[in-house]
Order: sequence, then structure tokens, then C-alpha cells
Amino acid sequence: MTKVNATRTVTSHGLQGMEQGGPTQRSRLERRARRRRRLVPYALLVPAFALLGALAYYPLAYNVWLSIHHWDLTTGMGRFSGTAAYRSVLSPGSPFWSSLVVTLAIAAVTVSAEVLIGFGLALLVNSPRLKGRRVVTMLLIAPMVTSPVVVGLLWRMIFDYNFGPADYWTYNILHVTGHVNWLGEAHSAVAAIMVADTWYTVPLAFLILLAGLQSLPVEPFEAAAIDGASRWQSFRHLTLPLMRPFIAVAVLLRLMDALRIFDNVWVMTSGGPGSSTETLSVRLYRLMFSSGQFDQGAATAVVMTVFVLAVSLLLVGPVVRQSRWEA
Amino acid sequence: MEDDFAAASELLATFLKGAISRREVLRYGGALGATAAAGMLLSACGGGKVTSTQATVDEPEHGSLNVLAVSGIQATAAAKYTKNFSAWYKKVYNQSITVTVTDLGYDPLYAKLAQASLTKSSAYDVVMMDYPWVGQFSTSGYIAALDEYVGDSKIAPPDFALDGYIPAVLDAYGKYGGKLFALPYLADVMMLYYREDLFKKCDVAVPETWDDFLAAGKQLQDVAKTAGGGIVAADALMGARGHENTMLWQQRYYSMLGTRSDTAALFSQNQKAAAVDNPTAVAALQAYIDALNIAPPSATSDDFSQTIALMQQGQVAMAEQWTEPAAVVNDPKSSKTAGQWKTALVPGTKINGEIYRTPILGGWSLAVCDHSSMKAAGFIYSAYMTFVNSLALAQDGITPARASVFQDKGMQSQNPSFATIGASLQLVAPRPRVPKATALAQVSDLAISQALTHQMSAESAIKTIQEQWNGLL
Repeated sequence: MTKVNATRTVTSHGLQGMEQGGPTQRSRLERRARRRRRLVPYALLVPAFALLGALAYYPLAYNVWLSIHHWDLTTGMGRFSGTAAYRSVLSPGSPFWSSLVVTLAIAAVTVSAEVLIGFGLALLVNSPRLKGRRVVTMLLIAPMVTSPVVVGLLWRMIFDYNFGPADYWTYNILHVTGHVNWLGEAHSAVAAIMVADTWYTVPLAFLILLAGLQSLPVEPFEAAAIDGASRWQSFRHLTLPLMRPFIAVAVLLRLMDALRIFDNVWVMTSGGPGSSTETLSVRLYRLMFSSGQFDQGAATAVVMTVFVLAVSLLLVGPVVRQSRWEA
Repeated sequence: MEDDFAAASELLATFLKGAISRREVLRYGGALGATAAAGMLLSACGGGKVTSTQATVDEPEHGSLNVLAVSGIQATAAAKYTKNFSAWYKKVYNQSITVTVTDLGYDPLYAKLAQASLTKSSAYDVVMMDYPWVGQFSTSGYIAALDEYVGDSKIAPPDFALDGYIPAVLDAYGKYGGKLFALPYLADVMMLYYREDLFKKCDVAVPETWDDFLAAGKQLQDVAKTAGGGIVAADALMGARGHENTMLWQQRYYSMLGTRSDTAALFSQNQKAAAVDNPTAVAALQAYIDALNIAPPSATSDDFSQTIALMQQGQVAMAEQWTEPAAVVNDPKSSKTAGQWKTALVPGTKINGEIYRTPILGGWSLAVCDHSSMKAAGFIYSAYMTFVNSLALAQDGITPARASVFQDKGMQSQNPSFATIGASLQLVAPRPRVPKATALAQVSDLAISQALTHQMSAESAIKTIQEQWNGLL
């Protein structure tokens, strides 16, 4: 009985296979092929991710690992220290906070100035009445192609109290009361860094915004002109809203960069006088490379990365939402 | 790495005997592979090692010697004499050797050494170090004790003797915990530079004490205002944030305290606590701050190179400076005031009727990496560069620590400040050489810079240094 049943069952399955086997097998093969096709892009991404992993994620992971180990350079031994370095870095009164304030102040002023000046220049260059636009554009982006260290040295010479022209300009031409030791006093040193950084990075904002202006549709402006809108009204109600994604991109890119500012500051003031221009990157460099406090330096780097990422995500959100809405 | 290969061979042999399963081979093999890969990665980070053929441990090796130097005159001179050294080595030891010099800036060099010390890298055989680092890297075991080589007649160069070095400099640059770890390569020391013409014109004597220094500066400035002279201020003061501000404070502090010992002045006896919170340290910092009154307004941002520029441009009449500018400021091609600059011992403090001066010692030493397979050759190279070849190096601007060079008539006529350098080196006070010296310097640099720019008082700065040094120690 069992045998018969079994045979029947087998037969039944065999029949099913005979009757429906062709299409089932085909669909199975198709499913398999579809799955394979779906996997192909992922497989193609593997080398890129492997490379990225080795070059970007490994150092990041290594940095986190460094931050949770206390290295005694006298014995060459590292011991697990958990969150001790983070607690020390983030403790009230830690120099991290003053560095954060300096970094935020420099970033806020420079990014605002760069975007405003860059937008102004982009509007000027975008004007159809401007002759020699290419030459003007090339001249305007010249600072961007200079090395940041050269920029630092250049502005250090300009702001040098004894030999640079900055004090001469402010005292003799602008008639500002008293001589200014630009790099030797706390507030003026921060201002000098801001001027140098703005000069160096305005071209990037200018290029992004000029590209944005040149990609704007002409129809709304023509319609506005027919309706009798003034230039200011066109700018206020058309150019600005349409340029918002480009402005956001310029702010985002520059802000990410400004929060990590190092080269100019290091060359011009090394973070001094006192700690008045000690940005987060300068502090990190000093901890890691000048005093061998690897755990503290690595923890500062992790906190800084998280901070920059958080600020960037805050800015990216609206840009993405607007792009989706427009799409 | 060799250990990994040995372990892998042993594992394979055990597997072939059938003592362990394939799964176990894969598991242990994987672990070994990962270790080896990590090892390779770390060695790659540490820089490539040129393999050398080692004769025996106790004899001078042949092969290639990798030297890591600090960028600047130190590395240039080291690179210049590589061929001379190879020829001399062949002649004296009958072995072939090639020397490769790699240079890095100050901070990258320290970072590289710290990394090499942690990974026990043997990428470099001889390393140049700022002498305060000797404490750290000898304690970590990265640099080798050289005592056994000094007394070994097969290894030490002919006529080499430690008592040929200026004792104070050898002690500071090379000795730590009673052992010799490095040989002094470039002996740098603070001197007082002064404009002879202006001092004569203003009838000012070369200052002997720190009080005289301030008074002379004031007199020079007053006369300069009325009778001209072209100076904007009396003294080119290095007040920018950096190591020099700590050194200028220490130079005053040691002399006021009447000691040349960094340990006695700065730390408790066991070196586990700071000992700077005292009125003398505050007075010394105040004396440094007071010097701003006779310095250009830019002093709080002036560093080594900017103060030299002030001297070359004739904008100042004196300066506390290292030995290096002596040639530059008296060179008519680069200085408006060439020929006017003379040197003297730095001022000091009058103690029991005598002037106690403590010129701060700067400079570089050569050490041999303990993980090197060319330790004997590394020691010989260090001895050659610091002792055998010291006269030639002196002519290239590398101030040696070998005492006999200062007696050389040719050098004395070539470099008029050589006598002052020699006299200063006899009186030197070293910077702190405890293992955490670099981290301590970062703290004091910042606090002193804040005091100089009136962001905090001298008392608060010293208290900050005391507290933060205690935290680090």
C-alpha cells in the first residue's frame, strides 16, 4: 500500500512536472536570471567599496580605535580606555570648547561673506552687458588655484606688522586710530584669518552661483518683464527663490570646508596668540602630532567628524527635499 | 614577520603529520595570515626598510644605513657627507656602506618617531632628535643605549672619546637615566646679539643682568627716538606661540633660581609632579612680559624667522637668539646691518655678587634605533658626524659639541661668534627631558602666549602650567 501510494505520489509529482514542469522550470530559471541581474550591480560595486573601505573607512575605524585606547609613548603600550578621551575632550572647561567657538565664528563669518560676495560677483559676471566675461571669470577664480599654504604665507606677509602693508592701509589710508598688530592680538588675528580665508574661497562660491545663474530658465523672467516687474522685484521674487538650491550647495560645501580650516591658520598664526585662533583642526594637530596625545587627538577628530556630518545633514535635508519637490 | 612565517611552517608540518584537522589549519592559518597582513600594513606605514647584510652583532656591519633627519641645515649637512662617510668607513672598517638621508619637518619628524616607536619599526637605523625627545624614546625602548659601543675598540672610531665633547652638552643631549642614548650633532644655544654701533652711539653697556637688559633697552629706545638710529624698538623678542616662548621664560627662570638642572627647576624629585608654582617662576615670566616694552609691537606674533628679519632690516638693536642667525645677520648680501652684530652671553641674575647665567640649550642629537640590524654601523655613523667630522661640519654651520673645534684658530676667524658659542655651551641649561616633554611644552607655550597677550596674568599662567603639567605627569 505504502509502495503504491509512494509510486502514485511520485507519479503524481511526475505528472505535475510533465504538465506544469516546463513553465515552472522556466519561471525558476527566469527568477534565477533576474536575481543574478539584480546582483550584478552590487557585484560591480564591490571593488569600489573595497577601495573606499581601505582608503576611507579603514582610517576612520582606525581613528575610532585610537580614540578608545590610551597610548603610553614611554612604554609603547596601548591600553583600552573606553570613553575616557571623549569625556576629557568634552568636559566643561576643556580647550575643545574654545576651539569649537573659534571654528564656528570663523566658519559663520567666512561662509556668509563668501556666499554674499560670490553671489554679487556672479550677478555682475552674469550680466549680459559685461564685456570680457571670460577674462574676468579667470581673474576671479585665480585665488582658488593657489595652494592654501602659499595663501597663508601671502597673507601672513600682508598682515606682518613691520613689513606688511595691512597696517599701513588701515592707519594711513583708512585712518583707523592707532596701529594694528594684526597677527599679534587676539581679535585682530581672528579677523585676519577670516579675511585670508574669504579671499581664498570666494571663487568657489562664485563659480557655483554663476553656474546656477546661467542654468536658470528665461521664461519666468520674460513673463515678469512683460508684467512690468522691476529689476529688484525679479531678483527678489524669481532669482533668489530659483537660486536657493545653488546657494544651499555653496553654503554646504564651504561650511564643511570652513569647519575643518587648518592650513591658513597654521601658517599665519599657529593657533596663537594664546588660543585665539586655535581651530578644532589646529588643536587636533597639536594633540596628535606635536604632543603625542593620540587618544585625545583621535577623540577630537571623531567628535569633529560627527559635528561636521550633523551640520552637513541639516543643510542637505532641505536641498534634497526641494530637489524632490521640483522633480 | 619572521615569527609569523616560522609559525606558519610549524602549523603546516603539524598538519602534514595529521596531528590537526584541516579546519583547524584553516582557522589558525587565517589568524596567522591576518597577523602577517597587519604586520605588513604597519611596516608599510612605517616606511620601507632597505635590507642590509649583517656581519656579526659585535662588528661593524656592511649594507645600507637609513638616516632620518630634520629638514634644514641639519639634513643638508648630513646628506652632504654621506659619500665621505662611506669612503672613511671602508678605509677604517674595511666594509662597504651606503647612507640614505630622509628628512622631515619638526612636527612630522616627531610624529614619525612616535609611530615608529609604537610599531617598533626598524625602517630607520639612525634618527635625529630634538634632545628633549631622548627621554621619551629611550624609555620606550626605541633608541639603543650606546655605552657598549663606546668602549668597544672594534667599533668605536679611532681617537673617539666621550670626554672630547663639552660635558654639559653631552649630558643634556645624550644621557638619560645614567646611560648614553645619543651623541650631540648640532649644539645650539641662546646668545645675546647686539648692534655694536648703536650701543656705542647710545653709550649703553652690554647688559649683564635681566634688569640691565630692560634698562639698556629703554635707554636705546629713548635715544633712538631723539637721536635717530633707525630702530623701531630695542629688542627683537620671540613672543609668538611656539617652543621659543617657553625657552625664553625658562632662560630667565633658571638663572633667577640659580640652577642649571631642568629637573630641579621644573619638577619634583621623582619627576612625577610639576614644581613651577613659585614666586621665582612668576617673576621670570613677568620679566619676559616686561621685555615687550622694549620690543616692537609685533613681538607677540614674532617667531624665529621674523626676529631675524627685524635684525637684518636694522629695526632692532639687540636680540636673544640661537647661533644660526650669526652668519645671516652679518652677511652683506642679506642684511642691512652686516658687520654690526656682535654676540655676548645672555644676561643672568646676580646671586651672591656673581652673575648666574643659564643660556638655554637647543639643538639636535643622533640616536641609533634599537630595532635596527645595523646598530654598530649606526653608532659609528653618529660618532663620525658628531666627532670625527665635526670640524668640516662646523664650517657648514653645524655648531659641534666637540670641545676641540672651539679652539681651532681657523674656525674662530671664520666665525667671530664662535668664542661666545663655546663659552655659552659651558653654561647651558637644558629644556625638560622627561618622557612627556613635548606634551608639557604644548601646555606652557599656550599659557605663556596667553600671558604675553594679556589674556591671563603671569600668576595665572604659571598656575595653569603647574596644574596641567601635573595632569600630564
